[in-house]
Amino acid sequence: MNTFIILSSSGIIAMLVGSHQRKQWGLPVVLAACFLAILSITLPWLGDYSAVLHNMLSFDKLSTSFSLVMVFLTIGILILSHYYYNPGVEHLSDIYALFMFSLAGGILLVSFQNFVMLFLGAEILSIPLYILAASHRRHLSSNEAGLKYYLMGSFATCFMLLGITLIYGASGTFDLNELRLFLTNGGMQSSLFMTGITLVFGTLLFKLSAVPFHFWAPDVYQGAPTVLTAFVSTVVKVAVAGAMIKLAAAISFEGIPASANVVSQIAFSQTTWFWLLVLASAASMLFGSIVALQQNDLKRFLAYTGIFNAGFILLPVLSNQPNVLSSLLYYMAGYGVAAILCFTLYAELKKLTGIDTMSGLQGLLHKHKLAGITMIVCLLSFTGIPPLAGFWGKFGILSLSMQSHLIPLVLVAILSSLIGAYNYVRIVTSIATPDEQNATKLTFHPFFIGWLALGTLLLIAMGCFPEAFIDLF
Amino acid sequence: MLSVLSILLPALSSLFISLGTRDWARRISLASVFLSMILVVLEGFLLKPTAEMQHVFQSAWMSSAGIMFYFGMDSITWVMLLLSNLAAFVSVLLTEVPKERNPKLVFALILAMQALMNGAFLSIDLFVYYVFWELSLIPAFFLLLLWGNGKIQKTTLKFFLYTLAGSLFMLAAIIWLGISGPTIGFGLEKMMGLTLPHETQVAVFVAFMVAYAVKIPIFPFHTWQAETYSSAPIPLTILLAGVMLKMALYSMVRWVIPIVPDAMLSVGPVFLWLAVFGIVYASVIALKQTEIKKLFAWSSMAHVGLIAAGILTASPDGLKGAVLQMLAHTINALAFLMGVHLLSKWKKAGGLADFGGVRNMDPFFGGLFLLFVFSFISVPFTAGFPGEVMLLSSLFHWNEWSSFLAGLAMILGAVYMLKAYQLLMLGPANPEFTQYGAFQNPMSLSDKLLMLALATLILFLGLFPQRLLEWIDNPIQNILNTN
Repeated sequence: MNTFIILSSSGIIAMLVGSHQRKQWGLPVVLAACFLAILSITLPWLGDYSAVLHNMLSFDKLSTSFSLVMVFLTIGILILSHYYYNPGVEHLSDIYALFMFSLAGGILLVSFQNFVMLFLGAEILSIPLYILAASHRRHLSSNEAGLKYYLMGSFATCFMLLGITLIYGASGTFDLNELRLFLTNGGMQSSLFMTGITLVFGTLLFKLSAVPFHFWAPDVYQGAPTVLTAFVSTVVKVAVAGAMIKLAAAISFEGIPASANVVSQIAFSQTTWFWLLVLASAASMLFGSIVALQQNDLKRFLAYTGIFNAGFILLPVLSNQPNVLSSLLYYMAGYGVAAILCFTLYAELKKLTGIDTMSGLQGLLHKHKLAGITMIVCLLSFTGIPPLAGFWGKFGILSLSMQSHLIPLVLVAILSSLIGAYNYVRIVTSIATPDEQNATKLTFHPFFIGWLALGTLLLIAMGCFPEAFIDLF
Repeated sequence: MLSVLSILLPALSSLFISLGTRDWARRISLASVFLSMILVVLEGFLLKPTAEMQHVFQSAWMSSAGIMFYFGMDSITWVMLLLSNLAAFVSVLLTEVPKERNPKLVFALILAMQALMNGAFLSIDLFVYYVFWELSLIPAFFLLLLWGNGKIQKTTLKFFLYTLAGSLFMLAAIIWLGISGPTIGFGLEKMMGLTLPHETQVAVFVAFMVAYAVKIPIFPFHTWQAETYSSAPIPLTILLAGVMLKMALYSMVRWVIPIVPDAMLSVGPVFLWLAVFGIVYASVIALKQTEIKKLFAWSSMAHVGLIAAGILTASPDGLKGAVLQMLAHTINALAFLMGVHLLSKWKKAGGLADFGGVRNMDPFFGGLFLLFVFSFISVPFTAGFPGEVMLLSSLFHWNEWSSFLAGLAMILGAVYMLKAYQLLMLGPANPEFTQYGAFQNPMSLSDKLLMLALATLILFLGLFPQRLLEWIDNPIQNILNTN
């Protein structure tokens, strides 16, 4: 709860400093708030808020570890934004404020214990994003992205609301614990409940940009400011995955005494929404990696690999194993670090050269060694080459899914990883091949180089000492 | 503990080179590969020919998943280590990189590749083995990309994706093996103790074999090979043909036979026939080759296919012959490719018809090259002979026709290799070959010594194979008797 308060008040402060013509203070304020938030998550003596607001929110293990990853990734994105935005950009501190609000919404989303909070979290997370997507006011594509995201997003939210209402109609409660009670007494048979829960999951799939709710993703990713793209593809996905896991765990009887476990497994995998999620997962993985083959624009490419990733994140949601949290979080952290590094480099390269297609990466290794190495390490981590963060992430998730006997889904995941590997390695070859037309060396600011080196080392360290990082979560 | 040194030494040298200066790169790598060779010899002296793993090193990596750094060797592993370090030694010796092509990086990558391949041989934790297996692809990929010729981007991508495609399914099978059984873990002892139902065994076997079939390569997974070998520089081809494909063959012996013995009997024949067909197929294609390196690639596929077939018979003769032949094939490949490398110093050309009359100009080189070619086509008393006979006999006991087909291919092998020798070495010198002034011998003293050393090895292995066969007997019995 402290985290939530800190983050939202820092957002308000950032707005205030902006309105008093001190917008250069915006970034330090929100960064400081993020560090404070990390402290408040990791130091439990600041106050035990395991359940607040009449049990509407609960800050349990899931919530704190997901929040930790989200705040860490946001810090990365804020540093990226420092390179991305010129100091002269209008409403700069408001932009930071919106990021904070969205992050606070994400924290609500992973802490919900009541469907009202799920809805509030999803809205607080999304509304700032609609504004941010359109924050390049003079760019047509940014406006398009904002409008598209807003229209589709609010449409999807309606369905979530409808789903919550149907669940309430069936069970008479918004509370997860009471819902569980209802389900153990035969509520699983209720078709009203099933429709409702499927609608709620559908909306969450939309936020995750999984097939068949993915159509907004490429345009929004491409049109929106890069900072927002990075945010949507990392922090938002962590938040939504957290909410999905919490929801799936709640309605699949986890936490019931061991004697009932056999029943729960059967009930879990025989529900309609389970199979819908399996389909969505398989379709996202295949669609994302296959369509990415055709992309030439770097951000669009990352959007499609993001769709693949949405499908991959669904695997742990479906596998319903006890240690699912640490594996998923490790994966998301590894993916997030690599993605943010990619976006940072992309933004800086675009600033320097003005090229935003893949061809801008040609010969990067020879133009600037460290930048090239960073990009290659990120791409290899996406590919899942050991021992990088991406490899252990995939390993953890695949082994969980195998323990849950989701073998066909694992095979689809491997097949699409392979198609994905083609995408990534193709870029690696072009980075390592000298650029004949334009071989001018690039120079970056020393801090920027240090930042790249730090991220690369983090990716390698996460791979070499996976246990140390997994234990964090 | 000694076994880890064989990984750490090249790995640290590689790091050292990449941080050091350009002028020292070659010297440091030479020192490193030389020390590695001494280390291998030392390990061999201290090794007992028993079935258990020796020089063991064990340390946890990810204890929650039962993954540990677990290295060790028996005499089979030692043979692999020997050929790996020998190949790295020759490879570094032959590497000369012009300054503008970044020698530091090239040497660092070669040593990194050596370290990783040694790691794959020495790992007795299946998961760590996979990490090394997969990771050794990365230096090979960059060596090929930064240093190869021709349409290198396309070739490299194809090479990488083929091998990755195989490996990913192997990874799935490895995870499956790790989580089955009473505890989660990947150690060799646990794997050897697993008793899996037949369907699982078949799935695991196929997943493993696809990975190996790509790397070996076995027909129809071979299409990356000829292109890659012909665009790679010779030192890299040495590492690819000399060591990397042996990783796959060795893995079949070390992991596949003990873990899934039943599937080996039921599904193994499919791959065995594919391998035998591949031998004939590759030999026929090799007949039509006009480029030296492509000829080498196809003939190598034929020879290695025979080794794979021998392993798939899962008989003592097949396995022993396979280990022997793996060593012999590496030595042959080193010798042959070294000869090609020296030829390319005389003239930058890759075609068989571009040369001719070399033997008249340099009888020493011509004579030794004849010995290398003889070993390649398994003339008695050369390294290629004893292993090949054992492999053919193991095939004969399994099925006469497979032995007949494989033997036929060996005759074809003699045809194309002798034809190649004739074109390259005999007859009058190709006028185009000598037109740039008088013929000059580019062989340095170290080249001559190296060629002599390889020739000695070839003769030694051909004349006294018994010692090695006795030495690897116990571990092989152990592998075959696990289930």
